[in-house]
Amino acid sequence: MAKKVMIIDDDFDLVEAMRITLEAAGYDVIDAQDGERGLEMVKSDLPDLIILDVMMSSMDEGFHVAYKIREDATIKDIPIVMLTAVGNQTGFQFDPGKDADFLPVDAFLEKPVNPKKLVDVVHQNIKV
Amino acid sequence: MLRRDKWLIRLRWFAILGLFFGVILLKIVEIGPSSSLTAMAIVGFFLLGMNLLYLIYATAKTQFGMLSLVTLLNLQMVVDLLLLTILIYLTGSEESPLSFFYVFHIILASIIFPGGFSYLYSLLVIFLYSGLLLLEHSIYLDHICFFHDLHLTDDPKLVLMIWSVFVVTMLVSAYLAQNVTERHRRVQSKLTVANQKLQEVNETKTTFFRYASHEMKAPIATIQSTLMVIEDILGTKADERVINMLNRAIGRTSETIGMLKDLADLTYGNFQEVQQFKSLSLRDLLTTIISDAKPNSDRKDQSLKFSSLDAPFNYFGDTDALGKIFTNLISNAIRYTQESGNITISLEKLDLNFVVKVADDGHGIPASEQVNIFKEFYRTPTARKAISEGTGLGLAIVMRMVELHGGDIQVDSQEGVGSTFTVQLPFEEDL
Repeated sequence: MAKKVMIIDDDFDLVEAMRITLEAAGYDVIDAQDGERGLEMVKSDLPDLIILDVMMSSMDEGFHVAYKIREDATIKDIPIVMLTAVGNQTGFQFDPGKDADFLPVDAFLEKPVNPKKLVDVVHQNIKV
Repeated sequence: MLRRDKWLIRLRWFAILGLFFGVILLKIVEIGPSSSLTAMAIVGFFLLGMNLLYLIYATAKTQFGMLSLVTLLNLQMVVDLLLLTILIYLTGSEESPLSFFYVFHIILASIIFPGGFSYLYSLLVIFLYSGLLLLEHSIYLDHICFFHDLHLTDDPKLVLMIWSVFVVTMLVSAYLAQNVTERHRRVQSKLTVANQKLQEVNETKTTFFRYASHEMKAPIATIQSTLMVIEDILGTKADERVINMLNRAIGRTSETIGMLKDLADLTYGNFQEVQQFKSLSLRDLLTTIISDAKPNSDRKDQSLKFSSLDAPFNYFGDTDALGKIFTNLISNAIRYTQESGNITISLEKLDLNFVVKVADDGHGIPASEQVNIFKEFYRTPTARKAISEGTGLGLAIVMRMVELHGGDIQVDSQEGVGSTFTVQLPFEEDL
């Protein structure tokens, strides 16, 4: 059975672009447009990996969603790939090695999303 | 006000020096009775002592309340005027040319104090001078005949005329000085207001840059992601021209994203909430940036070297901002240096500055263009010819980030020989 990837991002076009790439690579893709809905769907659909945008309705909505996922025993082991904007427009700069201690995510992916990189990152982080 | 107090103290040193010099000169040319000259010297020493006291007070007690400082300044001025009146008495009262010096005090009062203080001082001066003349013509004070053959006091009409001219001179001086300084103050306050407005406009501009670039970056990033997906799907199936077109479109979106990022960077210094100053090792930071840049210099077969002493070079700064400085300078060096060229980065400590030099033996910048390179959106014709892309914001960003650290950047370049950019970052001794 194909692995299920959940994309939580409010940018519909970006979600579609990622969906096409991931489906072509053999994954099932579901999506949510905001953090709250995303969290509900993670609990009900139990995806194998979550792609989560940092900035949605607020600057750091993605972080809050990530923390909530890690607090819930039933979903806390699902790997999370965090989508970040180019550079440091928020003043944050991400580094998985350095920030892993306080950011509960497994990998970072920078926008614009390169399709090959997307497939690589999903492939590396999804549990076989 | 405290600055004015210190200025007044400095001026007084010159007056004291002038007084002693004058006494010695009078002694040499044998003018004036020696008792007067001795008394003048005593006045000089008294003023010297007083000025020392003022200085100690101004240095020791730097936290003046406004009122106490104004009182202190008034006290100094009144004491000065009393001593000047004594000097005028010692040098012959209405015969004394020293009475001209009263004018200085009226001008000083108009500069130091706002409002009508200079008029008050002119009245005080008239009171002191008239008092002196009246006392001399009464039985309480003997006239000192300073100049042997000059006896103006004998003629009451002449004395009255001198007095009248004196009074008019003092009042007119007060009016003129007051008028000029008030006008100066008005212009200054208008300038302050205009300056504030300019700052507000500048803040609006940078806020606009920041949010516009932020808002535009997201859709362009999505467009690029979409284009890359299309390119990925089409692969080799499509016409080569279509693939080329797609690649160019992806390239154009990258350029636009880069430019928007530069615009956002340019505003970085204006938003203190995003600045994070902390202790960091300049050596480690440079090592990381250089190793990140190495693949780019390797592609052009360039030698990229770093030289520094084996010390951490601990510095209190903003990692992001410092990163932008060195990344920009090093990537410029790589871009504008020909294949097989040499780029050397050095880090050293000079007095209370850390000095980072990025030197290359590339195209160089003509002297006529060097003055403009730190301006926003400026690209030298030479740079344009060498590499077509570029926003012309890189060095403006570098300049902004260096200023954010209170530092300085200089360029030394010769066309066809190479360029050296020198960044100086000052630090406090106790760090």
